[in-house]
Amino acid sequence: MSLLTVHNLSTHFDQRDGRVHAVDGVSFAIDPGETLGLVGESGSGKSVLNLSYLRLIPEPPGVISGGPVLFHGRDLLHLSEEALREIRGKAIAMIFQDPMTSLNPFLTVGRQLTEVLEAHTTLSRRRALCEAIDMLDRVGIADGARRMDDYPHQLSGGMRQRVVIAMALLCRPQLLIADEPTTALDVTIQAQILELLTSLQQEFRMAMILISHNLGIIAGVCDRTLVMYAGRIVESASTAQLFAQPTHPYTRALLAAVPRIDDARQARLASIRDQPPDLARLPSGCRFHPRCDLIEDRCRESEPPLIDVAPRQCAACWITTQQPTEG
Amino acid sequence: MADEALITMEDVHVHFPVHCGVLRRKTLGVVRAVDGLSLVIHRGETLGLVGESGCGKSTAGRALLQLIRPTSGRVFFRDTPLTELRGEGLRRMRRHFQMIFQDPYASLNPRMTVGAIIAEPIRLHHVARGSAVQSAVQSLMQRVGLNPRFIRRYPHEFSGGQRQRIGIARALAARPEFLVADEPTSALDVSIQAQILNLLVDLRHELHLTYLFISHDLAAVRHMSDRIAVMYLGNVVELAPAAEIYAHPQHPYTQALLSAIPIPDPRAEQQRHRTVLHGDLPSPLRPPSGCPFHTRCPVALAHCATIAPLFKEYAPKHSAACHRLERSPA
Repeated sequence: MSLLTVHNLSTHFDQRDGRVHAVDGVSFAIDPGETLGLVGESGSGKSVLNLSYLRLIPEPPGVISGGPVLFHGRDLLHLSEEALREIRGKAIAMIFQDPMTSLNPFLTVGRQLTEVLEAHTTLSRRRALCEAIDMLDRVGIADGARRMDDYPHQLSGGMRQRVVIAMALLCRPQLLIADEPTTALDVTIQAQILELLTSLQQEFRMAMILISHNLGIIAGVCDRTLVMYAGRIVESASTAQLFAQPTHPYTRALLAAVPRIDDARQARLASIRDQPPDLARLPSGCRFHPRCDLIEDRCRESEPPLIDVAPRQCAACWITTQQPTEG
Repeated sequence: MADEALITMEDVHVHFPVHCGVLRRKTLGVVRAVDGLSLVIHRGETLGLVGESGCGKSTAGRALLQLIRPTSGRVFFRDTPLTELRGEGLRRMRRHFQMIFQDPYASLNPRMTVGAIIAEPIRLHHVARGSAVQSAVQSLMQRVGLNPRFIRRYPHEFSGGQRQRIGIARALAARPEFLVADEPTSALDVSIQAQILNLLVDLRHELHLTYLFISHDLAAVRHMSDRIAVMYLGNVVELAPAAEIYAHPQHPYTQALLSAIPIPDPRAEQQRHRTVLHGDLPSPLRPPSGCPFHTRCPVALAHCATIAPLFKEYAPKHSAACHRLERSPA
């Protein structure tokens, strides 16, 4: 059974210059222990999607619709704030891109870690401290007992992200949402953090949603991958399948646009022309059609549904999925 | 193409004193951002400069352009010693070397129109005058892929990729021979990054430009560069032709750096052997003794902690600074 199932979730923001459709009818599920990758460029809705079902989007200006979003059979969209707080930070934890902004600069590392346990467990202060030091050790901070008295600014970027990971894992979540967890870090530190995340994931048998714009990270870490474009999932497949046989023209173009270190140097990269659409003024039909090379008339007229193209692989494209014309 | 030196950096040091106390009178120490860098950039080539944040690659680029005056050492443009020029003399030389910045949001004046931004270096360096300025601006805009109709628009009306094109047009306005591109695509999305890299490649061939391409993205650097220099704590630890450095990295830092780059291919990812470095970059305020990399080096020897290795050529056009290489010549 799936751990989390999202059905037809949409989030829009009403702004002076129109309605911004940040997430538009997204459905997906994640199994216990699975690693799901979520790729897309900035503005594709990958962050807002996860913030939406955790109800971390301020309403207003945001409006969340659709659903249900089932976690252990309970609809997150209709839980009371109190019941939701029980799940957030405990059963579902989240880590963000910038470790400096997700830590409180005025509190010591120890205070921030024990606060999590105070909020979600009934451990004594002494036990909470021991747990926190033990968790720092597990995320690779060896002198944890001494680090407990440090403030975030005394730590390096990699160390801060380790503290944030320790905070997220203290309550042994079943689902960890990692939103660009290494984007602010250097490559050698990124490799350390990714290795840490995958080994902890196995140790704690938790599921993970890894949000990234970096296709290399997705390829190395994720079992299954969703590709988002302009608020919609345009392709979903096992990671191996997605990279071996990408179906959607956007996925194909994205893979071709990245320079690779293991490739001989080519003269030119296959770039995608123009830029992603304004979410307040979406193009008609398929959202990718103004940048796509394969377009036909129906691409401008109606939006392609996400349909199966192979076992466990689906894509939303009129052309590459070879769907018969409607009518 | 003969290897004619366009830029020569000789033993360049850039040190920043760190002060403390209320009146900032006490000196805590000196950050050696660039520490004895020597580098030659040949005419027509693209030299890639890679390294992690804090290794001094941006400071090196700025010291080259005299945007930061080196504490010591010399920089030549052809035979002209830039480090000895002042005021008007230096300004006159500047039209030959320009810079493209990382952040297309911060590097454009929000109160100037695109036309005014691009026209400024044209007027400053007397490239054109009168009505010729306007047509020069329009042809530059066209050249970098911006619609010349947008000449009266302001930077906020453009997307990140378009702003980077404005930055490139401004850098080209004085008709330079040499460009320093400091992380020109780091702030951009993947699909836009490819557009800008392609534009830089095209411009290089059409205008016979020489680039110093600074980036932490080793894949982008490989795509762009003829030769690559890897920096660690203020100095180059390895320098070789691009294909060579990726196929046969000699310095343990380069090896670790390359193995840390994720490859967008699950099969390749599974077959790789990854060297994960432990620990963080040491503080440049207190760089380690001996070889600066010995604190994180997986293959450090006893004397690495005390004696700094020399930067030497171990194979044709392939230089590195590591004691390990001395013992077993390649």
